[in-house]
Amino acid sequence: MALNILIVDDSALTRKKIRRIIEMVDFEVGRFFEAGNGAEALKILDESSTDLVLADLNMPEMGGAEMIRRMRTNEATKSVPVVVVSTESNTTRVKELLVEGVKDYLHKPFTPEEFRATLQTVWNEPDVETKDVSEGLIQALETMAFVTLLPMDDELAAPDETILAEMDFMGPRNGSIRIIAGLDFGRILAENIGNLDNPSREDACDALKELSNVTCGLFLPRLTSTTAESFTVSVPRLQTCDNSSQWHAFVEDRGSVVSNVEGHLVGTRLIMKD
Amino acid sequence: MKTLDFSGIRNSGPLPSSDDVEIPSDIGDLLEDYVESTESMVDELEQAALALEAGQGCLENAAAVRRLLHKIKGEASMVGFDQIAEFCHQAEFAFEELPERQRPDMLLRFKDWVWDALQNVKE
Repeated sequence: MALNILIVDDSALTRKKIRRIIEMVDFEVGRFFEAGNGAEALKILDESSTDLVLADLNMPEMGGAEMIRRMRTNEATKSVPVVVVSTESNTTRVKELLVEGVKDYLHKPFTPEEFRATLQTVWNEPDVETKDVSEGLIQALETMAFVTLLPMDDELAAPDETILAEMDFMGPRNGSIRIIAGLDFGRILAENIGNLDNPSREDACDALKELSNVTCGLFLPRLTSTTAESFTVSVPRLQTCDNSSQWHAFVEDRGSVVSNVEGHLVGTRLIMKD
Repeated sequence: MKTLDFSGIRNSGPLPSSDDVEIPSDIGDLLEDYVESTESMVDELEQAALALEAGQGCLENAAAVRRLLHKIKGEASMVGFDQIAEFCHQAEFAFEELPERQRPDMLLRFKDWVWDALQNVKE
C-alpha cells in the first residue's frame, strides 16, 4: 500500500531531510505533503487523503500539540496516525501527547532504520490485552539506543552501585514503572545521550531519569490505551541502593531485565496498583 | 567527529576555533540549504540580541531567542552538524543562566562564531 505522508515542521530544511530519510526506507510512498505549522497541516488534512502525519511540536502560529488536539476532535482526521518528530525527548509534553493517542515518537535526527521501526509500531501494534507484560517491558527497553538484547548468563554481575528511577502514573489504571541499572550504565548513557566526558554520578542519575522518562512514554500508552484516555505521570524520583540488594531482587525476575552490548544490565518493572 | 569544548560560551571563556567544524560526510546537496537557512536565523538572532541590549520588548525578544537557538540546534542536528548543535545546546544553557545584562554579548559571540563557521564550511 502506498502511503501519503504529511510532514509538518517549520524548517524547510528539516522537512527536506525527513523526506530524504523516508525515501531511503524500502516502502512505497504515494505522495508527500508538507506544512510549515499546524494550521497549514489541518488545511492539507482537510483537502487530501493522508495516511500518516509526522509532526514537530515547536512551530509558530500553531504548534504540534494544538494540531493534534484539533485532529482528534474532527471525525475526518481523528484516526489518522500521528508520529511526533522532535528534539524533546524527555519532556512531560511528549509523554502527554503519547498517551493522547500519538502513535510514536521519533527523536531528531532519526535514521531510516528508526523510521522503519516506527512504521511497524504504527501499523502492527501489539494486542495489549493478551501481551505479556514482561515482554512489553523488554520491547520498550529494546527501543532504547545502547540497549541490545543478549542471552542472559546465569552469573549476573552486580554493579558497584545500583540506582533506580521511578515514575508513578494515575488515572483509570494506577501504578508505577521502576527502572533500575548500575551506575556504570548510567554513565554510558550520560556519555552517549548527553555527550558528556567523564560524567559525574549526578550526570549518570540524570541520564537514567531520561531513560525512565522515554521508556515510560513509550510503554505506558500501549498498556493503558484500551482502558484509559489519559493519565498523569509524576516527576520521577531517584533512589540509590548502595548494597545492591535491590538490584539482586530485581534481576531475579529475568523477564524484565536485558543487558546491553557491553554486558551492563538494565531493566524495568511495572507495578500495577489496581 | 571531533568533540569541541563550548563551555566558554557560559563563562566568557575561550571558544574552539570555528575552523574545526567538520562537514557531515553524507550531507550532499543539503549543505547549501543548511548554510542559507542558518545564516538567515543567526541574522535574526543578532537582531533579537541587539533589541534585548536596547531594552526593547524583552519578553518577546527572549522568546524569539529561545525559538531561534532551538531551531538552529534542530537543523544542525538534523543534517549532522553535531558540533554546531552542541554549541547551540550550550548557548541555550548560557541564555538561561546568565544575568539579563550579559545575555546580548553572549548571543553576539555565538552569532559571530557560527557565522565564521558557516563561511569556513562554504569555502
